[in-house]
Amino acid sequence: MKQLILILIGLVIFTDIFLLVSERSNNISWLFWQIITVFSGLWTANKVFRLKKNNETEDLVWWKWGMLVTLATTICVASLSLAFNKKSLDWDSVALYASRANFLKSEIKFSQMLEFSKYDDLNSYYYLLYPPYTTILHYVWDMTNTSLPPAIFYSSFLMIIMLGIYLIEKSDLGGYGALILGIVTISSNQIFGLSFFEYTNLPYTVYVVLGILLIKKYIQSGYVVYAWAGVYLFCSSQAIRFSEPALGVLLCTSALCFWITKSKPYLLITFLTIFMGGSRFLSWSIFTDQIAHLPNFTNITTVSLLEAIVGGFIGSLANYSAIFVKAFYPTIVATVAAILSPLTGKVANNSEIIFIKMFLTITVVFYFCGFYLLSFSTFWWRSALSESLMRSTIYLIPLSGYILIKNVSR
Amino acid sequence: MNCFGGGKFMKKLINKIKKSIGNMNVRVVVISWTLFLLTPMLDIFRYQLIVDNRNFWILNIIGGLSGKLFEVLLVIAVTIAFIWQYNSYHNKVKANKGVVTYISLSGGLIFLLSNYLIKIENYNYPNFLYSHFGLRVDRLIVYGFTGAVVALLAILGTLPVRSKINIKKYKLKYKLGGLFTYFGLASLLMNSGLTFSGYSNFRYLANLTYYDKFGSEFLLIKILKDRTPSSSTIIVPKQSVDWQVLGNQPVTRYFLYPRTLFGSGVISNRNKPWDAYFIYVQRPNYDWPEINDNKKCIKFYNDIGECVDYLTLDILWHSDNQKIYKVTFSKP
Repeated sequence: MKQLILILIGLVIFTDIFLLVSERSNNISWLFWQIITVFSGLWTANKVFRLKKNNETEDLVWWKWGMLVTLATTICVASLSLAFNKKSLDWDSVALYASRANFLKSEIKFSQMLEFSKYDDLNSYYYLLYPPYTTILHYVWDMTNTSLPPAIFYSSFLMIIMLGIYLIEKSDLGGYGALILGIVTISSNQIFGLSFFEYTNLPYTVYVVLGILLIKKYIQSGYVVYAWAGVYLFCSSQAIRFSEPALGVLLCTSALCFWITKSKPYLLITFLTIFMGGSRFLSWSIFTDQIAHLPNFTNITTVSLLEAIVGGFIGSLANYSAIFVKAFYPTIVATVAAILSPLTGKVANNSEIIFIKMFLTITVVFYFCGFYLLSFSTFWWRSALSESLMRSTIYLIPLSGYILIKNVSR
Repeated sequence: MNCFGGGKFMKKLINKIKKSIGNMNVRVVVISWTLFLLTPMLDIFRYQLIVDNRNFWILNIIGGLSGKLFEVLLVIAVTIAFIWQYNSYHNKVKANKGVVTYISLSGGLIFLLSNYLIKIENYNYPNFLYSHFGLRVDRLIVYGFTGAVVALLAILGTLPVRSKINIKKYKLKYKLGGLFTYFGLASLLMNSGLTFSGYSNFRYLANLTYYDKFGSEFLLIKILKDRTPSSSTIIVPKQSVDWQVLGNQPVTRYFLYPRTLFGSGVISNRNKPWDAYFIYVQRPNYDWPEINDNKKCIKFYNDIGECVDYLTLDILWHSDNQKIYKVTFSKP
């Protein structure tokens, strides 16, 4: 587990340093926050590095264990083979990640990439829509002069999430439970379907899921290192998909849990989220605003806010709700089932279950309200809802799966 | 309740259903499942009857009913699997190792077999399986998918016996919540099942070329890339329903980089490059762009767009309905 977390942290630190070095900017406030994010990564890596190995063993029936491991391996190999045989890059990669990697090869900085949109009336914001994480991985992949398709490194995130879930959860759900949760995750139609696409959704999901599971482990065990690693991984998801509301969701969840329970672990999670999430948020916001001069591409005004409130009474909300549920199906089914499933006698007092349930609920509420507001301020909200909502929220599958499997656990 | 003659009737009915579920015999599970496994044989049998032109009335009836029988047996098999799970869930039946092995192995096997047969159909031609064996692809998909889900359920049912997962602890007092949990788990398993049954579709998606993804507009990009200097400026149409790819500058730029792209949405007499290239395309409903030789101007963006004056216009390359022009707007 330690090595896996270190690899994920290492990748983020590498991309953060890459951006710092390639930009060579003298904007003090950006430099300050970017260095803070790098140092928080190094600090977390140091703490994880000192983590002691857990030697707990569990008696498992070899053929059952073997069968599940074979199934998991088959799924990962199937995804790798699809990625290996890919004939072309996918839309997002062509338009953004691989394109930006090409510009980097021509020694064009991220902050200069908006210049390309000078003669484009529709995509002025496009090249800074997402932070550079996957672009830098594309760049490194291209620099190795390999003829293998870059879909392979996207597909490898499927193995990472399987391994991560198994290693983190085997002490909680047991060997079979952790394997089943991992298999249910990687074989889910949405996650497997994305694994060989060069989209940011799977890497983003890996950071969110493993981050939340580590935070949950901290609530269970009290080891502060899990809180650092969990919050760092979770906040690093913003280095991949910045426009997602994940930071707000975690902050609300931990703050609400603290407000209700007055339990200290939630306070630490809240502070770490403010510190690590805040520094990451500020560094990218300052970069796009002050260095790259990114124009605003959403237009939420007082009028659109008023429209949204009035719309709630005249039927827009009902119409929107139907579209939302349709776009969110089938993830919403497992999520709602997990939220509504009661807690058994023993589990009922487990604060980590309450934490994850709260996280699931607030995620659904955030996306519901966010897209509702967007529906009054943009013309493309319907396509965004139908195309990206499902892809952006696939992390709900393993988290719901955890609750459901935990419900039937000892 | 009243429409059923009062609450007593409903109570009796529920008790009776509960009792029959409780008494569910392992043999019933095995027989129902085996009958379901044999359903493709009905299709093959029906096909043989048609091909051989036999006229045994009883065989004809069975053959004719194969579709309905398949549906009925499908519902029975899935219901049995769920009831069986429900029983083990509430500790009413003990997992029988032999039955579990039989169901999980045969379920997995029919899933693989169905997918293999569908693969044969895809490699040959539509209706290949029906014209050779009488097998229908739509039924094979459902057949294989059911096999995978039931096999997974069977495996899941055995796990509580020796692992940390212990359904026994989930007591009857959590009946409604238990249903939520069970429903959620089943939805996750079904979701995974879709991946297995739809694997051929994933392979299709992975094998798509740029031409498959971007259509004929990709050919225009390719022509521009092959025929224009890498340091040139290319005028592209404004992004719209008609120009989803060539008009989408981030996509086009990936292929044409380091060429500079100039969008038709921003080009005007006040804002134009010194010289540039564009591809003239003849489409059934309209041509792009509109070149006015008399006035020596070009309209790059529909009716409301400005007609941009030029100095010289030369054809660099042409085919039947496409031409690459080099246009000079002003002296450097």
